[in-house]
Order: sequence, then structure tokens, then C-alpha cells
Amino acid sequence: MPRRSVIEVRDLWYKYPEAKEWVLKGINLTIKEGDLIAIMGENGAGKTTLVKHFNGILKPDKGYVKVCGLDTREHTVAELAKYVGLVFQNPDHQIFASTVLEETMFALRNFGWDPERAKRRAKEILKKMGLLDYMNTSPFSLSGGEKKRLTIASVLVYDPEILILDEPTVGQDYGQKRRLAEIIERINSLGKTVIVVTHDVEFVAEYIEHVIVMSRGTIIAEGETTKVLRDDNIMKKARLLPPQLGVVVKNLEDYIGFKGNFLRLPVFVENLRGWLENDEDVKGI
Amino acid sequence: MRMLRGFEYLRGDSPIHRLDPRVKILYSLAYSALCFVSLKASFLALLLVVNIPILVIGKVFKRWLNMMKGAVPLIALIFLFNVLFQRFNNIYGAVAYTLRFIIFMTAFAVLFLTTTPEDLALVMVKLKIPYEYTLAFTMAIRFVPTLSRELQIIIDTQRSRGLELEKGNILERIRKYMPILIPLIVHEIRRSYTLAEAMESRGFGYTKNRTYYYEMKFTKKDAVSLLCIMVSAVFLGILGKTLLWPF
Repeated sequence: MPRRSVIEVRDLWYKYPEAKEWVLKGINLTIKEGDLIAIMGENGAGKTTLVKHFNGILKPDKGYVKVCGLDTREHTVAELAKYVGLVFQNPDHQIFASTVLEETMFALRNFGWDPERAKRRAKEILKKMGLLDYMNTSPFSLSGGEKKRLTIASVLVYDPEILILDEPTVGQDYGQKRRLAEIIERINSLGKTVIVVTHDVEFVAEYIEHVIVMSRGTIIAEGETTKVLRDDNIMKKARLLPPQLGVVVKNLEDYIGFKGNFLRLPVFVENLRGWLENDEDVKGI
Repeated sequence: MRMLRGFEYLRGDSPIHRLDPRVKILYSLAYSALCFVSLKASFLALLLVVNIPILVIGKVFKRWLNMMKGAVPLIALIFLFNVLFQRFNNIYGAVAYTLRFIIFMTAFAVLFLTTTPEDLALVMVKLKIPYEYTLAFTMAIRFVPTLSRELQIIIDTQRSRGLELEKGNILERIRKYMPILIPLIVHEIRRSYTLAEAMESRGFGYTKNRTYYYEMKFTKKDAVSLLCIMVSAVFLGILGKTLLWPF
């Protein structure tokens, strides 16, 4: 069964009011239901501006954006928010409630849920995010990683079709990043569409298989992460540093002839081991 | 917001920019004071017109116009209140009060649009105002654009979570601003601590006698300008008092 497209962007042009330059210059993009995709690019490439169109915070100057069939120009942010959960970069820009539970329930209140039902649902999601123990504490007292998970919980709580994370890895340590990746994979495995906006090349290389690369308001590449992130031209144009493992593999190819399309460490290690065990020349070393 | 942005300093260069800030402060004060010489709308209109060449020479006429556009709701309100609670027999009284406000804003716009916050701070220091207060003042100006940007992000964030600011009666709407004001205030207080620590770690407050990178110099040009301002102000003042203004 062909998957339906949940986000459809056609010839999208946008510039901020009172600005002269276009921030987005003719973006065309289709994202299908159940996709897990990273939008990459340097600061100022237009990544965040693009995803702000996905829930109608920004409306196109030219072209259109359709989300689950709804034209964003004809619907309010609140209406679109039911389909698109957008998690912003800095948790401090959203946390306001006196308890973690209240914070999680905020969206449900806005959507007019019955308080008891909202509470049950919020607890359920907090449990999944490993935050249930903090239910009655102040969200301001949480650690950076916990705050991040809380912001994700406060969006997942109303079960949107599409989850967008804007720069989720900024300021997160390795353990928190891994946890984040697990959450992303879990949500995606439930059939939800997940879009991660980031310039964290290593994170994308390790966990996300499909990638869109933006530069100066246009999409310059789209495809499998293993292909796109290993293309030096694209990476140079996007001013991104190639993933370390890609560089290692390239060098191995040049020096000992070990080839492969690896960006994930465990897969690489396993293949390299296998190759070394079978290769007659190397055995002697 | 737009009116506030009017007070944001953008780098520029013109004869007015290069004037000693003290001269410009005197200018702003003199023209604000002149508003109170007479309540005749025609006299006040003349005062406003006199300001315009200064704005043009300072290359800030467009920005002043923008600022005024931002202030239209406030200007309209002042006008409306004066019409409603009239103490005058004709509309000119209301016009005069409105013009007073506009001139007031214009006179200070000349100062703020062409003077860096640092220059203003230097004047405050010369006036023996403790540096802590001076710094608070420059920082307040410096953080206006930052604050407005942050406010926009917070509004976007909460709207993404289904907050609808446009709906509901006045009380409901005020309550709806809590999810916006709380993060803003908490964020700013946190930032102020970080800022204070960063400044202290660079030696802020180490010595009582600060030295300054720029020293203000009162030049011949400044003296001439000062003279012109004083003469024109006195002249306009006498004119306002003596001449029979038509309305």
C-alpha cells in the first residue's frame, strides 16, 4: 500500500516582514506518513523557518504548504497543532507551569480535554518518558535532559501525526542524546512521522536514515543519509563537517582497500572484523 | 512593539550623529519645554515642522516616520480622550494636546535615533550618576530588541501547543498571557545572573575610577550648534508668547 503524503510543500517562498532577502526560495518537498527524516544545514539556512510553516506559525508568501491535506493558509495554528507537534529548541521558552504534570497537560487544556482524562493521558506519557517520579515537582528544577524530555512529552501527549524536533541535541550530553534517539525511534516505529531539524552531523549519521540538506533557503540534496553525508560536494556547499566515520572509511578504502557504506559504528565494526578475518593479505600483519 | 523599536539605535553617520550628546540632550529638553509655552495648535504645528529638517539632516526621517506609525494607536487615544473630555470650545485644543505628545516624541527621537547608548552613558557618568545606574540604563536599551525577539519565540512556542491568544473575553485573554510572561520573566532573570557573573569574571567593579575608551570632546561645531539651539529656542519661545496665533 503506498503511503500517503502528510506534508506537501510546493514552491514555497518566504521572507520575514521588513526584511529584504528571501529566507526560503522555492522549496518543494513531500514527506510521507511514517518517515523519519532529518533536515540539515548551517545556521541561517532556513531550516527552522521551513518547519515553522508546517504548523502555520508562518504562512507562505508564495506557494503553499499542505499538512495532512489541510492548506496552512486556511487554518489556524491551533487547528494545525493537533496534527503537528513542534518541539522548539530551548525548553526555557515554554516551561511555565508549577508542576511537571500541569506543564504536560497544557496542550490538552487548550484543546478542551476533560480534566480527568487529560490527567490520565499526561501521566501515561510521563511514564513513557521516565518523568513520572517528577510529576509533582516544579519543571524549573529539572535537569537539561529532563527538561528536553518534558517538552517532547508535552507535545506527544496529544498524539500528533507528525512530530518535529527543532535542534533537539543542542546542549545535550552523550547519554541524553542516546535516550533522545531511542525516543525518536520508538515514536517512529508506531507509524508516526518524525522530522528532526539539526546541524548535528554525527547524530544524524548514527540514527537517522533519510536526510534533506538545505543551504541559503533552498534544498540542495535529499536522500539516504549514507549517500548524502558522504558526498563531499554537498557537505561543502552546506558548510557541514562530514561525519567522522565517513572520513575513516574513506581512508581505509585508500590505504587497505576496505570498502563500504557505513555511518553507524556497530555495523562498521562488525563488517571490518569480518573483512579482516577473510582477507589473506591482512592476516599476516 | 514597533514604537519601542523606534528607540533602538542603528549605526549611522551624519552631522547630527557626530554632535556632542550633551548638545542633543539640551535640544530635546529645549523643544520639549517649548511645547508648554503655548497651547495654540498652529504654534505647535510650527514647532513640529522646525524639527523635520533636523531629522532629514540626521538621515533618520524615515525611521521617525516608522516610529510615528507605530505610535498611531497611542496618538489616536490621546486625541480621542481630549475630544471626549473636552475643556475647550473647539477641536483645536485636542489637536494641540496631541501635537504636544508628537513633538515630545520627536524631540527625543532626534536624540535617541542619532546617539549611541554608550554616548548617553558617558553623559550620565559626567553628571556624576553612579556607573551601576548608567549601566542599567544602557543595558535596558540594549536588550529591547533581544527581548522582543525572545517574546516572539515564546509566543510561537505556546501557540504551537494550541494556545489561542485571539479568543476569549478580556479576563480570559489576560490569563492566557501567563504561559508567555512566566517563561519570559524567568528567562530574563536567569540571563541577568549569567550576565552579572560574566561581567564580574571580567573584572567589573574592580576599581571605583573607571576609565573610558572614548572621551567626549566639546568642539567648535558643538558650540555653534548649542548657540543656534539656544537662540532659536528663545526666539520661538518669545514668538509663542507674543504673537497672536490664529487657532
